[in-house]
Amino acid sequence: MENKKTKYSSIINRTLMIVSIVLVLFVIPLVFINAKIFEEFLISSGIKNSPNLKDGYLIAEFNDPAGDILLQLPHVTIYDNARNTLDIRNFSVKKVAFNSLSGVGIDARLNVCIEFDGKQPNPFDFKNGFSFPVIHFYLKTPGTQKTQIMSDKAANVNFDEGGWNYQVIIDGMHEQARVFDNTGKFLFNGLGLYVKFEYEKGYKGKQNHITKTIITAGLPLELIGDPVYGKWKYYIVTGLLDVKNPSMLYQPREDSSNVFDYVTSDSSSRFEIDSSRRVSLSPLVVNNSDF
Amino acid sequence: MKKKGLAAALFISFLFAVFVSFFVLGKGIDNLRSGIIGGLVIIYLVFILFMILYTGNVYKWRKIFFTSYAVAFVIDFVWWTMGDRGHMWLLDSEILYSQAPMCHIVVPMLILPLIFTKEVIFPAAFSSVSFMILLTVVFTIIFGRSFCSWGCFFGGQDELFSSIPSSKRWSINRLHPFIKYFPFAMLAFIVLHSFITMSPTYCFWFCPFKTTSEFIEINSFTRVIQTFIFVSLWAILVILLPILSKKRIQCSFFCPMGAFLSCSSKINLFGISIDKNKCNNCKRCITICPNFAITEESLSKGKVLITCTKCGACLNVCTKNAITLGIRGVKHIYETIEDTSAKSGFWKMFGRDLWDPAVVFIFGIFTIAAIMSSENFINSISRLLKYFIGV
Repeated sequence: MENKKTKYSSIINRTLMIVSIVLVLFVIPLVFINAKIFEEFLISSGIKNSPNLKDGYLIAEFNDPAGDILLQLPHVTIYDNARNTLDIRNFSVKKVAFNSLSGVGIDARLNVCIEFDGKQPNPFDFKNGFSFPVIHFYLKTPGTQKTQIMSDKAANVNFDEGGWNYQVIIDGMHEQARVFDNTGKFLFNGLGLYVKFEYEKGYKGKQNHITKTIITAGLPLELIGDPVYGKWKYYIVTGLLDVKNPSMLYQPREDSSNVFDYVTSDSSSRFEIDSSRRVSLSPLVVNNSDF
Repeated sequence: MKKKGLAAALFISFLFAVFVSFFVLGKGIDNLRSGIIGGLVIIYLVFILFMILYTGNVYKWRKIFFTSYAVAFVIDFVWWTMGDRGHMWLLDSEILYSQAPMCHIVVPMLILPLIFTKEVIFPAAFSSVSFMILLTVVFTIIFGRSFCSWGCFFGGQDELFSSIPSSKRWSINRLHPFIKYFPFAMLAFIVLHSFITMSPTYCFWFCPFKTTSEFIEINSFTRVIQTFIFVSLWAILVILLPILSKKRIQCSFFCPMGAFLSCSSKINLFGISIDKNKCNNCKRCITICPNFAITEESLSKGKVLITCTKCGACLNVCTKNAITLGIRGVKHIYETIEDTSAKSGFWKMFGRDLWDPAVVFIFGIFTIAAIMSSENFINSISRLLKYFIGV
């Protein structure tokens, strides 16, 4: 009886020992090597990161061709290599929800993303990591009275119709985007202004040179309104002048032109700039009435 | 653990070197410089394992590795934040874009939100989160709470400071029941609060190790309070109390991950067992255990508590060899084999040295710890060489 017990115990011992050796020598390395499979399993199970700014709901996106800059940059040293800073390549609007930084609840915002080629130079060492451009973003939300007329000296543009109710100015100096009403009165600051650089992936994933600069400004949804409902119009230009907060960045030209680039929808034709009069632009229209 | 013969120690170290080289060098060596540093790090890790096996002194050599790992991690991480980035702040933008560096202590806080909402509430890249969850699951099932003494890059700080004084100034071998259960109460609070608020509570408010890694940008009064709390906790729990007591106070009482892993200690493969017949009740193991895992009651029952991190302190202090590291639930597997082959020739001696659960445990856990730590060792050495010698 005792012999049987000892034999039985010995078999268990040896089995467990072999199991532990197999685990250590084979299972653990395989787990490390195949970690990607576990990640894919989690994703397929529907697990995802908490709401964050990456996973916003895309409301509108417009691409803009390269090299369609309208004005010549002044021949001043600081503007060397700055041509790309004014040439918008992509403009998108996202509605994003994210876990509040206070640790309680979900916040929502409207993110305005403007993409440029290459790295934005920062000769003035501005906090936001870019010195040019000054981005003017105009917004017309549903229900605005059409009697309101808006034109802007800074951008030197007339709008095709009235009723534009927000002007947002984004630059390298201010910590947030600034929001003005159609009379030029300051309304409120935005929620976060982020500059992200995208790198070209080199050998073994190393980051080579910067291929894109994406400037993202957050606007409070509770003040702006929810862009997934109704017809919203967007209009965006880049320049070097901010008349709301004059700086030494750019001396206005005699013709007061400041529109270096603008985003246009595919359907509208390109315009020729005419220094004798203000520019009239067609807005980017996004109709979300189906939501 | 009994010391191993030279042949067995060399053989296992060689096997380990092959394993670790595969992972360390497989990550990519860009140039001769990083190749040399990587090679030196592998030699260091192999040397540690060889000494553990050859001397049988698990505690001493593990501690050297573990504390040096913690120092290397701090040098590497802080240098990255302060040197490369210019500040130690985790910016709001990094939180909002889920770009925070992932940490294992977060894992317990992720469980309830994952189950009920399928959301990862820590703002890190999804791949990092999934890898850390996987690592925790594998570690927990196979090795239990051993991660706290072998793989945790923060725990080494606690151990480092607890090792500084030559003698205790504050003896706390017996714990009040409230204190004994405090880590589990802390874990329950952290897990529930994280679920209710859908945010990692411990990271936002309590983690002392943010002091030596990265903390949230101080841009509001709330952040000032948070910073004050975690810096104070670091000074008290990681420096002051470990120095006074020679115990790992932060790891034992305040770390939610430690309490979480303790809960799994009953299900993992390896464990410490005490032979009551051999024990002479000298209580040295109670005194030396840095994690309060052996008490007079548990010793009388021949058991260690679930808070055991398998650090090896009790193994080496026991003069009667009453404490063994083996496969859980199997008594004296090592000794059974030893008895039948003690007077055998070289190959049987060699086989006996290898046929030891403690060797399998150490090989497995040290391999994982080595893979995890190698990058920190390489980066910290690289940065120090560049800074001081310019090479």
